[in-house]
Amino acid sequence: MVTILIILFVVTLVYVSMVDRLATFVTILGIQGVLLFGIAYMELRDVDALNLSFILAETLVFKGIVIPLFLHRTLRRNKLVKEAEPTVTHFTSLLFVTAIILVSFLLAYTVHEEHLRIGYFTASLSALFTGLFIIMARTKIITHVMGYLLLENGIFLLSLAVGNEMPLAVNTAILLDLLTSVLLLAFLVDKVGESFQTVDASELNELND
Amino acid sequence: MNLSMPLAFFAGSVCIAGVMMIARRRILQALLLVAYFSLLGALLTHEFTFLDVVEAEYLKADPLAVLFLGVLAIVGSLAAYYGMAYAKHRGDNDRQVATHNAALVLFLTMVVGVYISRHIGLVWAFLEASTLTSAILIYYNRNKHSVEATWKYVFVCSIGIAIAFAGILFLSIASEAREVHDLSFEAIRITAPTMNAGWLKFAFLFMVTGFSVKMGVAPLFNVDIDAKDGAPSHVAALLSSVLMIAGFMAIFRVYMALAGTSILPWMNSVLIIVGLMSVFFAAIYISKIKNVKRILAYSSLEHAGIVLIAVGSGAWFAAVLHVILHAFAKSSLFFQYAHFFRLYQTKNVHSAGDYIKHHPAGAGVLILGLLAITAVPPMGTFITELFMFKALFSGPHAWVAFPLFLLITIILWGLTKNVLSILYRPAPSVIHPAAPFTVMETIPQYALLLAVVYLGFFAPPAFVQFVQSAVTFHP
Repeated sequence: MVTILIILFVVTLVYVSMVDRLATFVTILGIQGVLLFGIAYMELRDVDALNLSFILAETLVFKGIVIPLFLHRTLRRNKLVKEAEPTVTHFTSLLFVTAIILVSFLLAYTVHEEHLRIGYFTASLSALFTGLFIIMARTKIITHVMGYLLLENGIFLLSLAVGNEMPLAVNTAILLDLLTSVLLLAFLVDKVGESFQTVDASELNELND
Repeated sequence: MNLSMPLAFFAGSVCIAGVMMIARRRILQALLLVAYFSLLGALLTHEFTFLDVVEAEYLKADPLAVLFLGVLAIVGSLAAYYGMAYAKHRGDNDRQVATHNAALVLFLTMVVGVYISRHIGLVWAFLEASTLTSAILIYYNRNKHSVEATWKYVFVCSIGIAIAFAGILFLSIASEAREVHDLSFEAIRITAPTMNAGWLKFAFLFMVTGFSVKMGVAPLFNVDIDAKDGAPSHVAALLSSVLMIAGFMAIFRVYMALAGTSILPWMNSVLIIVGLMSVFFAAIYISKIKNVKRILAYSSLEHAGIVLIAVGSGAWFAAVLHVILHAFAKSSLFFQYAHFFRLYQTKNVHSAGDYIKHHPAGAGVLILGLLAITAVPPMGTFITELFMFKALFSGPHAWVAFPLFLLITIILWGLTKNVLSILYRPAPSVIHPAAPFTVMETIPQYALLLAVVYLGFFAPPAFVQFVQSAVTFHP
């Protein structure tokens, strides 16, 4: 069952590479949140209730609901519909993401650490690199935020792959930080939109030497 | 004294920040700032008294933390003072000032958290929190520049810190394989020698890359420069001092935790390469740009690079002392920059001139500051750089000294050229009739620069011993 969820997660990465409508992208991020919830739930059923409920809140509530809703609101406020001129075509993106998944898979196999589960490791590395790829290949800063969220999801999976539980106090701090950073980034997208009348990263060049 | 003092400090800081948002009158703001720095002073005294005592499970102040807390208290309180002066001159509204002060208090508190945490995950969390609070500080002016700087800074910091988190996870892969579930620095230090060197290298590389954005070194230094350019000058001073130290602390703590392993020579090479790259970029930009604030920011890049080279060449004492002296010197210069801007209303070197005539006291700060950041005697930075070169020559990376020396000379030339132009060139533009500068305004800047001389050349033996105990490696 977990394997199916992980495969579905990887499929969302492939889908993301071809998505044009930003709203769809946000929805996929929400779906990823739910998938991560499922994976974490099955994986961590035996940890103590407090830690478990905590991780479930992080995935289902924040990644699955709160953040997508917030991003949808940002899209509406800035009247953003599509990634206007993707610098990289869909086909090339698809090739890239496929290559990323393949390389991650090979990497996970070569590493061969007994404490490390290959499925998780592959999916997490793929999400990490896909996130970085999206940030580099797309021009709108809101898409950059979404790339960042992909990267975060990858790191969440990586922490599951490692299986090391951080102490609760540390986990709480990390969760609070992540949530605030996403809200702050979305807020800044609004502000950039107001000041620059565009949310194109290449237009952000007021500061130079 | 009660041992949960740090927790009391965190709670107290949050309360003070909360009250600041409500009580917006200037006098109340000033009182609240005084209250905050008294609390910080109490924490410093407490930590100094209870050195190396674990508190609240995850907090512990070692001599290194206490040293940096001292720097934070000094530079932080001066930044608060100059922040109030800045707001007064510009006639900013109460709400803006209150938000700024509350963010300042929270920012400093988060940085304190970085200094005194003994768990790597907590260091990470506090560093990210410092990014979020510093965003409010950088955003202060609410214009195009500050929006752009804030956006870039928060975004790249978040990416960087996420990469660092991956590094932490790699470290925990290595420790899980040894059945160690504790990621406190002590635990890592004890078990690291038995861990898989490959994972440790991965972990170190990812963490250095990620934390580089906080320390302001290569590879992710660009946004730091933009942030210092877009932020008010007293905030830039904080970014160049307490935040640089926080980034350094994160890297140095990881480095020390892994220093007992077989990857030490490899880590040294990584730090030296990163440091040399930083100095290289600094030299290129300083020799060609004309924006005073960015010149100062690139000079911070140079010094952060020098600090890492010092760590990599084994001159840990020099590294720690240098990062402290640089914090004093650079914040003094950034505070002085506020006067410069008030006079000329421009950042450009070419639109300024005759500074020595228009603001002699400020010109003095500029000259002494130039000596400090170019490491000319009698400035203490001379001593620390000397130690660094000495260590470099006696180590396996002696060749680095030659390009480094060349780059430092280029930077010396670039900085001196620009400062002389500001001081003596006939001013081309109209000087704005700013409010007259009071003596009080420059005294703290002189004091900081005097500290650079004092701590370098006349440091009391107790201080030297304390710094030495901060960098002693306990296997």
